[in-house]
Amino acid sequence: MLDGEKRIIQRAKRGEASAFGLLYDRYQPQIYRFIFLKVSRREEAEDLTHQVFLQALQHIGEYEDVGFPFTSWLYRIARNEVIDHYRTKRQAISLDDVAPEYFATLDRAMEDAERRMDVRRVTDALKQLKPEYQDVIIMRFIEDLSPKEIAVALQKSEGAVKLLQHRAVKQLQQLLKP
Amino acid sequence: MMDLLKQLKRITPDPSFSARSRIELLAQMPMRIVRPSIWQLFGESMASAGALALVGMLLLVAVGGFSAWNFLTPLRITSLDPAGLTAEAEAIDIQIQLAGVGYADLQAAESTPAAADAPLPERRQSIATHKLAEELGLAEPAPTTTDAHTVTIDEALDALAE
Amino acid sequence: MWRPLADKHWTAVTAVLFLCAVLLLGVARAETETPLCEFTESIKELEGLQADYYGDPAFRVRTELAIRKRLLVMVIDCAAQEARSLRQKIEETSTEHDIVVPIRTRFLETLNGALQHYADARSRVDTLGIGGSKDLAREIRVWRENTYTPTATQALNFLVWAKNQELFSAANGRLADIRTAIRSLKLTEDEKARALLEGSVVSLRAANEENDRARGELDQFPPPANTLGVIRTSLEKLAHTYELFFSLSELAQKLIPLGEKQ
Repeated sequence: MLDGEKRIIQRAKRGEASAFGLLYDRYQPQIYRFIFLKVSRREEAEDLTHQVFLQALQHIGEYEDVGFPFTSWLYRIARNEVIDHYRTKRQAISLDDVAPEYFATLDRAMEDAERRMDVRRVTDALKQLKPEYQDVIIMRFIEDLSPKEIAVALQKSEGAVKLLQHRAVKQLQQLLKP
Repeated sequence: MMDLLKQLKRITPDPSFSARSRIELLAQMPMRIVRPSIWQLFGESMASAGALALVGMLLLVAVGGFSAWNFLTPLRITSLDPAGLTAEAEAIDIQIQLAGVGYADLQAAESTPAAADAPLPERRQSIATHKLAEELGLAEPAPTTTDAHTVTIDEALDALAE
Repeated sequence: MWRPLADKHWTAVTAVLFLCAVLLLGVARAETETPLCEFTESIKELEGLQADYYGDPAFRVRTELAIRKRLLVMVIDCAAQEARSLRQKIEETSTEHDIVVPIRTRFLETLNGALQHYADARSRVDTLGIGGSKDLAREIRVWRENTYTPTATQALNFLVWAKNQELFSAANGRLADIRTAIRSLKLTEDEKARALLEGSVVSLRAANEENDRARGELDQFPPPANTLGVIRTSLEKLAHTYELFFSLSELAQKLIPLGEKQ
């Protein structure tokens, strides 16, 4: 969370571009990352990320922080955009379809070759999880959202999120077994 | 595994994309009386994206290059073409009629008080199914007179079971 | 003696009237004698024998058995043709959309199972006595009521739903294109355009969710009674989405100078 985030959000709601810019700078990378790990194509991830923040911009007037963290709100928009996007594509993404730049993006992030292979294995396995499991894994273990923030984003109870998390981790471990 | 997942945090968006996207989004916001200068906005984005990326972004915007936006020159709004919309909407209407066949009868039967000789709910469902089958070309219209009563498979089985 | 059907039997009776008629449509041309699904005369013959015959009891039993077997074979062949025709319709559904495929496969497998069931029953007819033929008729009747007819009903629903997938695919693609066009034309600066676009997104999302719900119901056995209703609702929401598309189209024509239209 940004320092003085509540004040920044209020300013953004009043139409102050610089305030929204601050929110964009803070949250855009993680929203992009969340979407990229799910769609695997840079172009699509960029389009969808832009769409998420366009939606946020258009509806920020309606956002109220009453136990509803701003991050959760953004993730909820992002999830809906990805779901709608897949309905447009109407095809299963097989690993063979993954764009080369997906792996290039991962590779750029990793210096160590062996590490790169391990990370690729993890991302391959991540893609085989069902969407809800992917969401929990990404939000909890990559983006460090709290169970409460995840619960709000997924519109579930905290208890349900913890159970989802447990199952998701178990399945991911299963997929990573040699 | 957790450690590996954490490594994925290094994935970041292309700075030039971020800068262009940011500019476009903020351009849509209403201006305030105390308006940040254009350089103030650029300054904020430069702090995160770098001056070089910003220059590159401006050049790319000038030549109209940005991933999904490239194909929009020349601008096309065939997606909003009424003829195309009409064709698709008509196809939906046909399917609604198909799905509504029999269903309307079922709903009407459900909503009106049952007479003493009214068919059971299961039979009303069956009537709905039969009408759907008629529409799909899998059935002839059900006979309406007892003289023309066709013995069905199940009626014949019932007769044979006696 | 053949008694009028109890109400509970109407569940299956009316539902499968149409399936018998498929044979009248498709097979009557080929048949030169009694059509495959025409049972009336045979039933009358059986009833007449039971009611009016006063001759040699042994002859009567043999005749009754012959009529029963002949009729039973006719009924089984008719029922098998009914399942075959339905299977053919399912086979003809497009497999272009991935989500259709597993359900299509399941219905084809189920109908193949039904055909095997009929083939097995048919193979038993020759060795039966009068009591055995009655038992077999009863057995098939119960199986049809509890298993086959609910499946056939759901298969019809599937035929409607499968056809809908191309409509949903078109709508989802169209919305994506509209969003891109609206953005590029900067129509998002117009409040009404934004509201219509947002409305379209929400409406199409609801339609897709209902479509997914229908898919879930098609997977269930016994099938929920209102699957067709869910399918219809998904289409109504899709239709509403197009109303919003039309409004956007009208608005775009007003806001954009003619020279830029393509």
